[in-house]
Amino acid sequence: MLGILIKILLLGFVDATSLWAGTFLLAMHNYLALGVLAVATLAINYVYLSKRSKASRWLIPGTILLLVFQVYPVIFTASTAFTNYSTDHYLGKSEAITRILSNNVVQVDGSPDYALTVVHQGQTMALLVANADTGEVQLATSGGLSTVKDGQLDADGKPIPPKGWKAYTFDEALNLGDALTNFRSPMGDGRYMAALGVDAAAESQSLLSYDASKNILTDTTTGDVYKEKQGAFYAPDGTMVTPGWHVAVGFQNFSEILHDKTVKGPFVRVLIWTFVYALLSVIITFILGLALALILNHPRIKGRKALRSILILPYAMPGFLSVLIWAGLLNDDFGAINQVFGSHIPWLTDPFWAKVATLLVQLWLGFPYMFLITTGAIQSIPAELAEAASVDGAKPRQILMKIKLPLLMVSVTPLLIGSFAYNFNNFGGIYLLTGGGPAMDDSPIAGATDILISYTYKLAFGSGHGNDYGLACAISILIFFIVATVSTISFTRTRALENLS
Amino acid sequence: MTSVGTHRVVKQKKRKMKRDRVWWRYLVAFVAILFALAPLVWIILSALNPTGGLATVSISKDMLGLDNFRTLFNDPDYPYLRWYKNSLMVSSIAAVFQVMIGTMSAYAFSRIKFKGRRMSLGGLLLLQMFPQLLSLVAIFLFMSKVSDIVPALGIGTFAGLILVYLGGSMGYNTYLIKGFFDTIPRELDEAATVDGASANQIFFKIIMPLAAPILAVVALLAFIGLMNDFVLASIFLTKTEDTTLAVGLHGLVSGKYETNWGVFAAGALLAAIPVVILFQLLQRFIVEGLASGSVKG
Repeated sequence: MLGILIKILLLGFVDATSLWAGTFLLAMHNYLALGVLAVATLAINYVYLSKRSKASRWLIPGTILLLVFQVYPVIFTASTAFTNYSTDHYLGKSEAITRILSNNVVQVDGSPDYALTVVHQGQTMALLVANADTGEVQLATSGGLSTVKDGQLDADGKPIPPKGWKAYTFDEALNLGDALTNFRSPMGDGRYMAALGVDAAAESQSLLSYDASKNILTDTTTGDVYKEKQGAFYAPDGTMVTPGWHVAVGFQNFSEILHDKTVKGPFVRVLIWTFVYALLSVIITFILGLALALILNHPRIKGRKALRSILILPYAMPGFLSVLIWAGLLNDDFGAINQVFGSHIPWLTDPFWAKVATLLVQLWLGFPYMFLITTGAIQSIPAELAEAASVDGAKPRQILMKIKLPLLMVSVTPLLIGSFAYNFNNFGGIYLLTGGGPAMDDSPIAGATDILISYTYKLAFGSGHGNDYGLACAISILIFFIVATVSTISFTRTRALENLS
Repeated sequence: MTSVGTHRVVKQKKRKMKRDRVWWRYLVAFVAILFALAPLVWIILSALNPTGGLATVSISKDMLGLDNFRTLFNDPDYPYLRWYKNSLMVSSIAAVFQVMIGTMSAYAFSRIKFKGRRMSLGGLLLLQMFPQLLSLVAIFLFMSKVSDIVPALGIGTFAGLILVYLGGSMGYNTYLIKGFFDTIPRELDEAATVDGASANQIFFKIIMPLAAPILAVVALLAFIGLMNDFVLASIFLTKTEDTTLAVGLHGLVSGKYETNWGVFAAGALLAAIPVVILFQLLQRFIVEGLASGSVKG
């Protein structure tokens, strides 16, 4: 009984939530999302109300979350990689054209200044304007202008609302936001009355007009024609009218990476460093971890458990904190490292030393992991093997090199590949330490220590430059293929190794 | 057992070798400890040093104090306690739901025969090749759209961030928990079915009580992982007053190491303590999990 009650309550909650979200979608005319929501909601109800579909009722919550927040973003990434989605191409086409027309508005030459009072009649807004030259007061509604008889001005020279209209206070008018700035009262000839702030208005006209049938913009003063090319209008002299909109551009992002000098140079540099960083990170942490495991896991060493607890502390620390702490320790001028050693190494400002710093930090962060897995692997090697070898007269060194290490490599190689894949995308290890810097001459975005994932992050979310989502997604796709290829090849190789031995 | 055997053989051999030096191993241990602990000791000293500078090397009695902690708790520009609360809240809610959802899926995969079971399991494994980190841009653009439609779940909200975290709950956790469920003898639920128990009853009355300790461990590990997240939180929670420890502390210190070092050190210390304690308590499980190939994210 209780079970049924809970089920009904939860289902009711789900249905209510999707109904609530559905009304928003309906209001925004987003029918695709509405359809998806409806199907999902019906599916949930079906699964939990019908007697069949036994497995689905356990799987559906996870599956929906997985589809929405993991599968869909992957598809979205793949499709965005083939568009020009970026700061300049952020909107849909119709929104972009609206924005262009309202951006390119100028005050009509020689038109008078107007004092403004923003007024309303219930929900209907209008501009009450007073001509500064003639003193005439006019009411500008969305339908057009009409003269107010005997219009009066207050002490500040602002028109006083006629009967039936109420004035917004200064603050209320400010809060109108876009509703006020986008308000247009047509005056004929493509001119209209529009607000300039909250207490002045002007006769304005758009410099551009849009012809939907020919898909061109025309300059109303010069007659120049702006034509569309790849999600934006371009003037005859080739300058782009912002904003553009996002359109599919095929393989352009990928070919930019391969051919465009401004993109290719930094990209190749970042790609090489990503491989170097990931490989060296694995190698140095593995060597240190293995060495410590071999040296410290000795029967005559006392307190091995305590030792392990201490040595895994760097691994136990939250990673982001460790990296931030190291950034402080390596600070060029005041950092502890340079202070203690009396050195003046530009750890974070010189391209070479910054790379050394990222590896040093990764060594500290990663060696306990390698220490733990190699310790485990050594302990799981059957003792009989070493015994047999020593009976046959093998020296301890030979046992180590010929028996223990090869066996150890077989069992830890998959973990090393995993570690490589992790470091290939070790965003925190780079971004929180150096921010990808120091800056390089060949790129405003990619710094000396940037790896692909931090470069992608900066392309998409960095400040101080336009954000290129399309290119960022294209690089994400490349990262995926690189990691997938490397992992597949090395996994099949190691499997081959295992079969051999 | 096997390692004990090795040790015995090695010991006997070593005794025959008369002299047997281990002092250098202790030396290595000492250096390793120094390397592992130095940054941590430094952060503790910095946190307790009221002058708060990065530069101070020497230690004396009047250089110890709690001023940094006082500043940390009272500076209105950096609402540290709020970040702390946010981090604990987001991570624990997400961890609990992740494990709940993972457990349900694991139960289906372990106990119910259905079409496409093997394929779904394989698909799940394949999806893990494309981590959320790689679809960051898409997640951001998608959630920006969600913000327009349902602001309560969009960018800048904890609910939205938690939802995105939950997107990953079907992956690794499901595998881990399924592996454990597979070790619970099937005869138990068969007997219960004969006695007339429903799938729900088997799940709640038989499987869950047996799995509870393991599930707690999985939840705590998920919690540690979530506390560590910087990337997703940094694109979601951009307001200083409503963010998590990772994003907040990064903002506190990045580019301002000279001025904010002492306060940062205090904040880092307090943030690290619960995670490190949890980690040490769960050491056994973590070491076991390592062998199955999870790398800390």
